[in-house]
Amino acid sequence: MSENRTSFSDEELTAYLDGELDKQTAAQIKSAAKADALIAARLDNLAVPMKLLKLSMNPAVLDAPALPAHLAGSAPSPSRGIWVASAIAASFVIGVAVTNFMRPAPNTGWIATIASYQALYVTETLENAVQPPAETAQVLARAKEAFGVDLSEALSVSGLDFKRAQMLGLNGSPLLQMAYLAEDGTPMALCLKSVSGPDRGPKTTVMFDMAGVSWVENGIGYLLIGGGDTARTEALSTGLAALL
Amino acid sequence: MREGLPALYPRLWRFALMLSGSRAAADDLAQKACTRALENAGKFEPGTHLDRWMFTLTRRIWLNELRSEAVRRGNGLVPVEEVELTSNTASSEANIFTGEVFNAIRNLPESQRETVLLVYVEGYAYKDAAQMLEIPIGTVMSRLAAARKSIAQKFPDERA
Repeated sequence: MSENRTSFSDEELTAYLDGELDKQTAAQIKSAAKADALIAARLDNLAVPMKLLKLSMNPAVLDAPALPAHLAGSAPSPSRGIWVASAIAASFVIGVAVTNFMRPAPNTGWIATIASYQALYVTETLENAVQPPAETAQVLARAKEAFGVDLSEALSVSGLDFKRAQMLGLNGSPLLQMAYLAEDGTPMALCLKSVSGPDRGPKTTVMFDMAGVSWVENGIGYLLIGGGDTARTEALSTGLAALL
Repeated sequence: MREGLPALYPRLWRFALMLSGSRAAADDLAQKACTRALENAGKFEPGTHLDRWMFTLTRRIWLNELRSEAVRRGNGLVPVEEVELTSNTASSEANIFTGEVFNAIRNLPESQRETVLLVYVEGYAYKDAAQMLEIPIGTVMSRLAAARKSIAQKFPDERA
């Protein structure tokens, strides 16, 4: 039964990469790839940047719309009583969907954009980053000019190792990113951007498997994002907000 | 069903975008699918998967009602138009890669796009994707193999 196959179709190699192959054939491909450079090369020719692929199709990145209101509550239904109750429930769910996926929520666009950027950070992105203090000071001076906020206190935050500050841009307006590594090597970032809309307290959002806490104060949107530990991000953001 | 649609809608719209090729056509298709679903809510068995039912319905509407018109307008092909990703508004290397990968998907043939979306983005198993697409599992495999080859060629250094 355990004949050692040496030839495989592209479909089988694809199913192997997708974890969809039966155990026996998967084991045969695994050992064949070690012994045969040609099979290893064929596997390599089928390998795609899966994380980026998923990221590029994220509804937030595509700016996918929410369910139009006329579909949420106006279609015929056999029981009006049930319909009214479910319409109320649906409108609540729409609120959640809008917050998660759509631009009309005032701050969601910039948060989604930063999240999509931060999602590609790994420990190695920052572990060797050394920014000369003079350069950091220069960036923070520009940030103070742009946002009117003194960020020097954000250079030493308990639980975070500051790595670098840089000015980015979003929709033609400045965006500050302060990059950190948490004690376990998780990359995290504090970002500031001018936003329209009233002040609001901290709100936790999970995007691209990362916990982000955002708040708005005096027309400045703050976002601390990174890692999957919601409690940690919330605790760090509380500490940061107190420092600023 | 009415409670499930709002949360499902952005995913449904994304599937409609992959099928129909433009944001405007995706709006039409996704809304038509929801209207049809609400009209036929009695046919949906509570407790079964609303997402799979909706993906199948959306695809049938596309193939049976909207596709021929779109093909006529596009002179035979329905490629995905350039879609501005929200991340494109920020200038960063990460966004450039995200946009390039999206472009690679958008340039795949429609049959490969829909299969890539269901398996690699939605995360369905081959057999579930085959059921929704109403094709044999072997066809799912050959479409994915072809899609993987096309995308991999464009990202020789970005594989993961």
